[in-house]
Order: sequence, then C-alpha cells, then structure tokens
Amino acid sequence: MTGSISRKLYRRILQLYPAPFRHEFGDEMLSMFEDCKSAQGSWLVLADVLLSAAKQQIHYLSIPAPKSAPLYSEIGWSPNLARILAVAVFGVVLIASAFVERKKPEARELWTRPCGGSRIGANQTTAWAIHFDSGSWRHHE
Amino acid sequence: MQRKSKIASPLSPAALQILAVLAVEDLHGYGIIQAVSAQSQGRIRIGPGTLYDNLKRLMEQGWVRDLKPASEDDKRLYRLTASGKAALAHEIGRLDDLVRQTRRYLKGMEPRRAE
Repeated sequence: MTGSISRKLYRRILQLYPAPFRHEFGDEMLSMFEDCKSAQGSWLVLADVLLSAAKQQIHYLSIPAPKSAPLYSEIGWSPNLARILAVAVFGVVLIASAFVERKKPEARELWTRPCGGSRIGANQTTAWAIHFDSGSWRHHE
Repeated sequence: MQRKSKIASPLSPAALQILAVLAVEDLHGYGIIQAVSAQSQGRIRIGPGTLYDNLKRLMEQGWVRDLKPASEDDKRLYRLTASGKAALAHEIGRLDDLVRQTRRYLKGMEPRRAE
C-alpha cells in the first residue's frame, strides 16, 4: 500500500473515533503514523486503529446520555445502550411480523384481483380485503 | 471526568507494559511505543490505537496524567501518578507470587495431588 493511500485511510479511520476521544488524542495519533508505519507496517497499524475505534464507539455508546439541565441543555444525542437495545428489539419485531405476513400466501394473492364487468373497466383493478377473523370479504373501490 | 477506581487486577498486558515504562520516566506517545518495544526486546509492539485506548483508561483511573506541553512544538508527556505506582506494585506482586508458585509446581517440589 502506498504511503499516501495508507495515510488517507488512517485519517478516515481516525474520523470513526468518538469526537471527545478524537479531540483529545487525534492530533497525536496522526503525528505518529509515519513512525508507527515504518516500525510495524501499515496494515498492522490500520487494523489496530480500526479495532480501537470500534472499541471506543462501543464504550461511548454504553455511557448513559446526560440528563438535560432545567435552563440550559446542549442539543445533541448520544444514544445509550438501552436505546440501542430498544431499537434492535423493535427491528426484530418488525422483521418477524413481515415474516409472519409472508406465511399467508393466499391472503396476499387475493388482496387484489382483476375485475371486469360493466361497472368497472376490464383493465382496472379493485381491491378486496380478506378479514381473517370473520372470514368475510369486503370490497374497497 | 476522572473516575478513581480501585486496583483492578489483573491488568491487561498492554496496560502493564505502559505503566512499567512510565515508571522509569515521563514519555510522550511514540516514546511509550518505543520503550515498550525496547523493554520486551521487540516481542511486544503496541499500535497507536492500543496505546491511546489504554492511556485514556489509565488517565480516567487516575494512574497516569498528562503534562501539558510548554510550547506548541513540544509533545505532550505522560507521567505515572502515585496511585499508578501503587497499582503497578500490586500487579507486579501478584505476578511475582504467580511465577514463584508455578515455578515450584513445575519443579515438582509441591505436587498437586499427593499419591
């Protein structure tokens, strides 16, 4: 890997660190890149920094969000672990519900059906909704 | 935010090495990497990510503190604190016990099961 590409990549990876960490150590980490690269090789250095950035992100995400002050609070959002878990659970439920829907192919097939006749044109479709509770059909135009 | 904590033992190898080299002298970031490599005869090499992960944690625990550079050209130095020295001494003592005990077992002086 050429020097300029690895340096660009290194800079990009440094951007992945949480902002407070980057502000505290970012310049120092950038300044030592050339020395580390020549001593350890660019791949090892990049892998080390990438792993470290992931660790720091996880660390910062696990810190609870600061409570807002009554008169002043900074506009910002730092998701804590509970929020991430809530979003993950919501996502799983959403995917599971979509999967359950797919298990009823007859309902999907009957959801719309082409309809001819005098009242509606031959190319038009009309929606039919099937109600699983009552087993009855309802017609929506 | 400084979180002073009790001595968490065992320390990670990287943290132990960093504390060990800072016990000798104050060092800047790359100086720590070089000193760790020299102290271990090149067997242990820590990258910048590992170094600053550990430095941040050690600073939060109050075991290491940074010395602000006098001018912009100077590099920031890191120094072992008194509680850092205590933590290092505690860990070295623990390792010393472990080495002595294991050496005894290996030499067959104190077999685990009496037959």
